[in-house]
Parts: sequence; structure tokens; C-alpha cells
Amino acid sequence: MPYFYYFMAWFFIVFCQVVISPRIAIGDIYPDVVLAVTVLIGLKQGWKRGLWFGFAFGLTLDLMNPQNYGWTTILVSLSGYCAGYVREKIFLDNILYQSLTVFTFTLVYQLLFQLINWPFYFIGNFVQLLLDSLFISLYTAALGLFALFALGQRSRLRELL
Amino acid sequence: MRISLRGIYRNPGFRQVSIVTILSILLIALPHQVKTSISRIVSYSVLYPFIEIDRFLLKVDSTFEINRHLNRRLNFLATTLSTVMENRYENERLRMMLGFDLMLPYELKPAEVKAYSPTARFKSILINAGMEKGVFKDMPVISPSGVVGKTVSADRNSAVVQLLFDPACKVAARLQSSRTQGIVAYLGGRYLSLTNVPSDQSVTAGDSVISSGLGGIFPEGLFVGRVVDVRAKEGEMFFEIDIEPGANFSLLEEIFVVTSIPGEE
Repeated sequence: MPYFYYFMAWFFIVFCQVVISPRIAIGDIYPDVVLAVTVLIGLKQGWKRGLWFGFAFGLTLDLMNPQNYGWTTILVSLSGYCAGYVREKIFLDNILYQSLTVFTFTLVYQLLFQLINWPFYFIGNFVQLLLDSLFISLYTAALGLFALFALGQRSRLRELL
Repeated sequence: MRISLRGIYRNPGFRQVSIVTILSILLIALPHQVKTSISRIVSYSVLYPFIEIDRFLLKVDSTFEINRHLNRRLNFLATTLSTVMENRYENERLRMMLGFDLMLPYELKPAEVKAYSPTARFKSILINAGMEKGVFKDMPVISPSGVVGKTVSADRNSAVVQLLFDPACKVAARLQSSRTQGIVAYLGGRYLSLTNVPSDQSVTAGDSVISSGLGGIFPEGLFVGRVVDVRAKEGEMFFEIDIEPGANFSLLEEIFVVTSIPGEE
């Protein structure tokens, strides 16, 4: 039964990334739903789930685009793993700190991804790409904060009922 | 501090990260053709629902955009059509008035109605022709369908017209067929009245009433209206005659002021 829930979660997150994310983009700045969810899973449920959810999400995104095969998988998986590692070392209960972690991971992921895939372009347009990555990270962190807040409210409501 | 390699290998975290890394490197190392083939197969199977949903939403987006564009175009065309229809009606009216102008032997000044008196039954109107166009007080005002009234005051560029439905406006008239004289006036009710017609005269519903030219303001022969009802009371000297005016007072837009009558100076 948990596999069914995993499948549903995978389906929903990929749906958000592929279908919803381009539609809530502000210009070229779009939220990286997959990375935000992977980091949050890592932070909430540990490195193991972070790693494998990241692997599943990253692989799905890679399979859509043969140009970056493997790189998204490895970067998103490691992000999930590192988020779980952060959880073990520093317990982050505050949603603001959690969204700050999402921001940091997204920024590092964005910069690494661009550096790996287009190294010369990355070096030549570093400032522009850094700014773009910053805005994407901010948007993703804001979305993560909203999701965490909504989940917190749902938990409180459940406790009340 | 001593780091044992065996300890690292036994660490489940390390093992799983290694598996993921090796799988990812294998994917990176795949030849481009294989990557493209896998992508194509996956796109047509696992990712098919997402692609289809995305395509559907794109269609919905474009349909909304087309709909918005068409709505804007429809509004524009509706406004244009309304303007065109308005111009067409105006054109028809002006053509009719032009024909009417050529038909009558009087000098006519065309004018547009600018305002109506705000009463249930219109008693006066304001027109956009005044002294500058040769329009003065006590000039007959007509429309192609009949007498409208007379001017009661005139400014430089406008004049007030007293309509036949004002009880103070009277027109010396006659029945066109029998030539019987009378006075057209408004005595209340729905219709105008033709008064002072002796009850021994022959009057029938449908008779045309025209101006007789005896009043001094309206020239002879202008169509005033048509008899709709004739009542003769026992012992009364005169008929009670209802007349439906030729001019439709609620639809007046363009009218003529008779500024000069040949033979009268």
C-alpha cells in the first residue's frame, strides 16, 4: 500500500513540475517544485527517502530531456541525501529555517546544473545566471514556505478535530 | 582519528548513494542515440499522461486567448454595426427630407432636435437653428410627415418650437376633401382636435386635415393629420373631431423651419 502512495506522490509532484510550474512562472523565473519537495522530504523524513525520492524525480525529469541525461538524477538525489544529512546534524523545526534550506539547496543546484551542462556559457554570463538562479531559488523557497505553512495548518486542524 | 574503509563501505548511506551515483553515471555515459530512443519510448509511455495534460491545457489556454480576441472583435464589430445602421437610418431620413424639400414651394431650413421638454406629452423642443440661419419667432416647423408646431423664441444658434400638443398652439385648418374650415388645437387626451366644424358638414374618419393658411403663420396646404373619430352631440352646433397628427412627436430628429413663403413678405 505505501508504494501506491509513493506512486501518487510521484505522479502529483511530476505533474506540478511539468504542468503547473511553467504556468505559474514569472517571466523566465519558475519554481523548482521537484527540488523543493526532495529537500523537504529529506528534511522531514531523513536521507534515505530524500535520496530515493530525489532519484525517482530526477530520473523522470532526465527521461524527458535527453540532453542532460543523468545529471538531474544525480544532483536531485544528492540534494535529497544532503537534506537528510542536515536533518541528522541540525534539527530544523522552524519552517523559516526549512525554507531557507530549500533556498540554499536550490541555488547550489541551479548553479551546479548550469556549470556542468554549459560551462563556457556559465563562466561568460555568470552574473546574469547567478541573478536568475537567485530569483528561482527565492520563488522555490517561497513556494516551499507556503507548502510547509499549509501542512502545518492541516496538522493543527487535525489535532483540533 | 582513524577512518576505516570497511566502516565506510558498511555504511548504508554510502552504499545507497553509491548505487544512485553509479546509475546516474551510467545514464550520463549512454550514447546520444540510446538516450534519444529511451526518451522517445518513455515520452510515449510513462510520461504520456503528463504530456497529454500539458497539451490539453495549452489548447485550453489558446482557446481562451482566441475567445478573448474574438470577444474583443465582436464588441468592435457590434459598435461598428450600430454606427453603420445609425448612419444608414440618418441617410434614409435625410434623403426623404431632401425629396420633401424639393417638393414644397417654401424656403426651408433644416434643423436637428437637440432637446425635448421633460414632460409626459412633449410640448416643446429645442432645435439647433437660430437667427443666424434665418429662424425667428412664429415660423412654422414641419417634418416630412406633417406639421410639428411653430417657433416661439429664437436665439443666435437655437430656437424653441412649440409643438401641436401644447394647448396654446393652434393651427387654422381645413378638411381636404370637403374644404370645411376649423381650428386644430390640443384639448387633452390622446389626439388633437379639430374644432369649430359645424355639425351639418360632412366629416368622415380618415379625412385628411391640412393647414388653411388663414391663421397667418402656417402656409396653406401643409398636412396636419387624419380624422380618426367624429362625434356629434344632440343640440350641439359643432362636431367633436379627433385627429391623429401626421408627425410622430416622439421620433422627431430632423425637422424643417419654413423661413419664407413665396408671395408673402
